[in-house]
Amino acid sequence: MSATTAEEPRELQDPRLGTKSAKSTKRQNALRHPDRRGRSPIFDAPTRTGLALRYLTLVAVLLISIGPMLWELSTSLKSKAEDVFTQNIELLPQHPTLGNYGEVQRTIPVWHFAVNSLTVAAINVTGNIIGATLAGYVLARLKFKGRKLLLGVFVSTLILPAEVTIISKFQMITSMGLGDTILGVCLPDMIAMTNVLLMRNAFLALPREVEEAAVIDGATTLQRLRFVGLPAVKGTLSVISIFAFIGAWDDFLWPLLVLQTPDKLTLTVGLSYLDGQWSHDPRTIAAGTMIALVPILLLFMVLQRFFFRGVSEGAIKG
Amino acid sequence: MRRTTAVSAIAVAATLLAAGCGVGSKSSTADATKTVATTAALSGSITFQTWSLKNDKFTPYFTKLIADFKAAHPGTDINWIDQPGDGYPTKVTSQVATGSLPDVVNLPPDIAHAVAKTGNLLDLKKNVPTLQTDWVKSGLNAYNYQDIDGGATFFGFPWYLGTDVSYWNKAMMAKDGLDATKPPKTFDELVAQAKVMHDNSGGKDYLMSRAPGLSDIANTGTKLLSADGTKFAFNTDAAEAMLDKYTQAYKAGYLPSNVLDNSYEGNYKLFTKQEVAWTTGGGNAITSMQKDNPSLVPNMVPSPALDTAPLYVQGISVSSKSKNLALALAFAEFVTNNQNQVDFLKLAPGFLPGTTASANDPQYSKSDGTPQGDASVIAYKDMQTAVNFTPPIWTDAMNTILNQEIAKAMTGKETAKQALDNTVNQANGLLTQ
Repeated sequence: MSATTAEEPRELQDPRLGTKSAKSTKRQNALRHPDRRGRSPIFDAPTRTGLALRYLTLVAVLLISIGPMLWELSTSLKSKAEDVFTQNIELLPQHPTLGNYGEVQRTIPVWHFAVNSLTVAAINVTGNIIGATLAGYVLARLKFKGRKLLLGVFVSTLILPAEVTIISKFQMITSMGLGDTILGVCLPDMIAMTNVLLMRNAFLALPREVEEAAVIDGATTLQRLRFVGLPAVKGTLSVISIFAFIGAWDDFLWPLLVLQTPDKLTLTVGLSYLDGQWSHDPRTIAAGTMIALVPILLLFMVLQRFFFRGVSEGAIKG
Repeated sequence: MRRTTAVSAIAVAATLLAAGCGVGSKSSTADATKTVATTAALSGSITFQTWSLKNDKFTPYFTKLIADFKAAHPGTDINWIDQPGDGYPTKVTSQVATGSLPDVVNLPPDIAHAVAKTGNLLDLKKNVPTLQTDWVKSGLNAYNYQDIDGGATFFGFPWYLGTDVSYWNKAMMAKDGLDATKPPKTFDELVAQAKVMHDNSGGKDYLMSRAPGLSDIANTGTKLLSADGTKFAFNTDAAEAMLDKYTQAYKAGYLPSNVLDNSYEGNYKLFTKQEVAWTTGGGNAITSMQKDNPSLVPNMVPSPALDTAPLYVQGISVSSKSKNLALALAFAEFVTNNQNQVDFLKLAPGFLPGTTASANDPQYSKSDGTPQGDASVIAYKDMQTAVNFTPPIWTDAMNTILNQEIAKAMTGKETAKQALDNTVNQANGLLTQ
């Protein structure tokens, strides 16, 4: 698709040249050197400077978002003799060492905590995928008395800040005999209201006619959910899995309240033992943080394809 | 560092405690003031909770402590648990709300106040005859609250005491024509040296880096509370004059401009980054700096705190709901007895024991020649006159109001008098809520 050979199609192709300035188009054609303006021959492609600007912006945003993580990573690799807080940030450790990671392992049973966290996260993800899907489908598709009221009640619970309800939630869990258990940590978040709403919106986005066709074919409600609804909402499902996973993995206050026995602690609570008044070493804290970050990165890498699809799903129809 | 987190959460905790107890365990002050029979031999088991002390450094100490106690009292068992530094007030709140507060608990005075108010801590005065002779008065007073039983009760054994020491950056001061061996001793001298530093560095280096707070008001000789201890009354002329001096220093550029907003990192952090040449810190700040920025340690020169130093107290309290009060009380006394405190302090340089037998022990006034040793000695000297400034009824919400009003005054939106009057009125309003 060389621009120099086909002048007329090129004019059509590139709307920016348009009819606005016939004079300039003519001059350019006369020069037969479209690259003078740095414009790519491909439809709607940016100019070179435009491209450069885009990449510069991308790099700037990248630096802003991963900068703190890089700093943590570099801190976790710094030796005891190096300064951590400096006026000019030094990202490359002068004497890189893995000793801090070893110290984390010696100080706290970090892998044991990680297994606990994974258990909580797995239960929460499963609970949300099953529970939020069922609830979301019911709210989106089934007709029954009080549906609007039910939806209203659900949404209104979102208004209550978590801090207000946390102690009463805790009293409920302990009176159920679930204090100091992993299940007690999972239970309140096993079906999160935001996830139900996300699923409801995803199901609403599916044209009703498709389902009506399935009804005519004799599909039951569960069959419609399984074979018509679910394939259409995979993106949102991966979004709520990631949200549920990160929510469970990062939560600190709730597991701190529920759990008492040291070997039941989750990773976030366990890691905070590294940050004591007497044993405060930014390097080991950073090393612990990096260990906690790995599973989230892995999960995101595996699911990112679906994740962005899910995000746009919600963006269009939500 | 840890204490600021604690203080910021205490307001929430206090509110929740009140709410939590309405729903959960019905409490009565009768529990708190009961007398414990100590005639029978000790037996059974109790739980002992520390705050952020289970680590390489302190675990061996506690293991030995518990073993010693069990050897002296066969048939008893102590279950030691430790809570992480973050979220401690909320954790204690939840324990109180569900009636699972450990028998013996390490509580700072502010959290102890919230728990004692609900009747969940045992009055020690009634049960320990030697309380006021064996433990230091300043420490005990931190656990004595005017709004509970009119101040007739004490809810904690003083365990270890801390204070603030000033630290100066020798190299920065030398560069700007100041001598770290002759640091300012009063607030006025501080402002004078801050001016020198500002002028000689072209406004790049700072000496002062924090806005005034409640302790600065107390340091002007102002009594924070009214005579009966029920209302705030610190809007005095002296406090106003102090605030005016800060305002002038701020306007002249002697403080970094962001000390009043949210981007302010705290004076210790700015000192660590070598942007300011003065900070206050605990007696163990040099040991901590060894971990943060080892290259800064040789430049740190300690000196006594300006004016009167603040006193920080940690204590051991006994739950009034304990099923084995006799054992709990005996163990709490054992943990805080003189010998065990002395041993504990060997691991915690820059702090002092809370027992009268050791608090004035001259061995703490001898430095081993290292800067950390010097700082420990200074902390020891500061502690002789240190005062716990913060009244127990002062909450985090009130502190936020104070900070906002001080910011308004320092940026010229209000006069110092207006700012202080507003703070006192609003804080008193919060009291009656």
